[in-house]
Amino acid sequence: MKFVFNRVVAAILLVSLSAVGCSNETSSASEDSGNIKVLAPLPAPGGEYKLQVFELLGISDIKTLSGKFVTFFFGPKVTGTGLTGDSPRTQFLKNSAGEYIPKNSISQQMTAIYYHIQRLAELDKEFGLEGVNHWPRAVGIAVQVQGGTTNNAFYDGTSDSMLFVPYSEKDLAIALNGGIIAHEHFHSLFYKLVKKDIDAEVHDRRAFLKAAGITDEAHDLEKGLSNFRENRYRGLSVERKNLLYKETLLRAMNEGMADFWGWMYTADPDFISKSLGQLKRRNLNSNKFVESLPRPVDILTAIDIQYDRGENQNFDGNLLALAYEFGTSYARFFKNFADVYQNSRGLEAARARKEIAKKIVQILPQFQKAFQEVPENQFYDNFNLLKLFVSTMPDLNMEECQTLAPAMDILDSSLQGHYVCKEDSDQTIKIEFALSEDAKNVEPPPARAISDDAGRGS
Amino acid sequence: MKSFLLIILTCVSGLALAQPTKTKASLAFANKFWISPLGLNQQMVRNNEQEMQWQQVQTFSASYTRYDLEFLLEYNHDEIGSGNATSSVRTETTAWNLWFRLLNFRNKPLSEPVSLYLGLAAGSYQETAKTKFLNDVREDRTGFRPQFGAKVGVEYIAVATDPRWELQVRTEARVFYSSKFDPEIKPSLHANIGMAYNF
Repeated sequence: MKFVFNRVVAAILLVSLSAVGCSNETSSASEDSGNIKVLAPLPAPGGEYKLQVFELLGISDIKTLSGKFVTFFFGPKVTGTGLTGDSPRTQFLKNSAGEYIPKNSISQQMTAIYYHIQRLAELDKEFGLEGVNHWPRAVGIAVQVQGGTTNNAFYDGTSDSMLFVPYSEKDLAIALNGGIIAHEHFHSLFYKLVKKDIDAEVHDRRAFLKAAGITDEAHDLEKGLSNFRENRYRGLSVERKNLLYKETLLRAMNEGMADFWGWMYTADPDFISKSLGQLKRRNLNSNKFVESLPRPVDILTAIDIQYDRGENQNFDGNLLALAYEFGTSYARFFKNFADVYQNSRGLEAARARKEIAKKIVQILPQFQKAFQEVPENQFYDNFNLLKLFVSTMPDLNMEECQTLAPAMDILDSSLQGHYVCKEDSDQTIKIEFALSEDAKNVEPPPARAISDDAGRGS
Repeated sequence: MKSFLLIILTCVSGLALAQPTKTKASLAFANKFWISPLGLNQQMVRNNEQEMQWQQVQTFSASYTRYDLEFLLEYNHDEIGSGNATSSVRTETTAWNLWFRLLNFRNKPLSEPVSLYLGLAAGSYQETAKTKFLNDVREDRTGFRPQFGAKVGVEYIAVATDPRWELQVRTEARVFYSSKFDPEIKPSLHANIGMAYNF
């Protein structure tokens, strides 16, 4: 009897184990790699986020979600050459449709980051920027921050990485916010097209890392800055003012164009406040009759005001805040122009946004050259940036021209006349400088013809 | 996976075909039904912050025992969530396991209070993810996937006035394996209180 019982036991186990072993629920590694369908919240055409199933391309390991476009690091150390640390482990379940569903929010966020970077890589290609960034991109999540800073994302040029610190608000997590990811991605383009070769960048990175509170193993920030600070903040010499101006202008331009990139990508002018409600002031919708870029006098005055407050009053932080404030002017100017460009040409909104974005990156290398050529005792003038931008549009129409001409007026401090739109005999529209009646009776000012070289200071 | 199956199969079949480790002549009863509506199970899982943490699992189990060999059917259910008010994910896992338990360290009658045992399990589990984003809620689930377990434990038996009834307390250390787990070996600690009926 006992022997029979044991035989029965063995038979049942044999059958049950074999059945389980033959289950087709087991999947090979190759099924979990390549192109896979996943679920996460993504911006829908109206800019609102919805749960969507989409495809991630070139996944080589789903357990770390590494692939052709992104390599993730969890709580990484930022070094001079890159990120070091462990890869975060994702958790997905595979539903009956073969779609991978994130089982926790970190996996969902990594999914969204991968997708947005993959899409941004496609846009880079579309804009002729294919070779600018290296792939896969290094992305740090749950980045350690001194002082426990939360709710932010950064791009660090030296390590060429995108860094996300933990998000503790109740709104859309920054790692899910496609606009902010596009914003950070633009910084990587700006760094390589503009900042990398500019001296001010060295200081800028230190100040950036310090302001961000990121642990940087490669540099002892305080030690490294001590000599620099002593020389830098002992009275606003011309050299010092020039350096601060350069840093602020570059940061402002970088932040503003990055905000434009976020809007270009999501079609949402208020994409930042979806995650950071307190930053509604960075909404890209224009609130001015004429949108223009910051003038040198605007930036220099703001620097002076901050300096007068005292160097121990968070001077670095205030300059950073200034950069964001001026940055919004760049973002709104380009967004406003993109709207005009779309309406006046009857284009689809997405196409118009992309075409303006393409023009922006097109002028960056020329801007860099001009910026570097400005003499030490002069300040780069955004009038020249605007001229570069205008030069990308040989087919300007009257409506576009009438948007740009007042912006040039604002940037021109000569007050000797106005920029006006004129239609040539061959029906091309040009912006020309016209002396005012009063100015005609006095010695003419140096003309700021828009065909001049962009590399002038003021 | 196949080699793992083979090892389990060999072990279990070997155990099943083996003779009991002791004589049963002194036993008053050869058969037993056991039920445990209350199981406390803590399993080690990786949380959203990538740290390993203990997670509560609800357990219900029932078994049939003949001499020292027990077949136990067990139901497990656990839930874990992450996210914030805007976007959250809650994952539920339901598992059914068939345990084969051998009280092979004991050389005493069943009525003795303390016994050591070993067990092997084959089972399957199903996961359900409830993804919530603003007012959008979506539920996805897997099919049933295989998992395999092994355990070592201690059993305490208190016999009631009527020797057919027993109160049992079992404490176990377990590991489950699935290629889909993260990590692939999932350890857990288990405590059960149940009633047994001998016949």
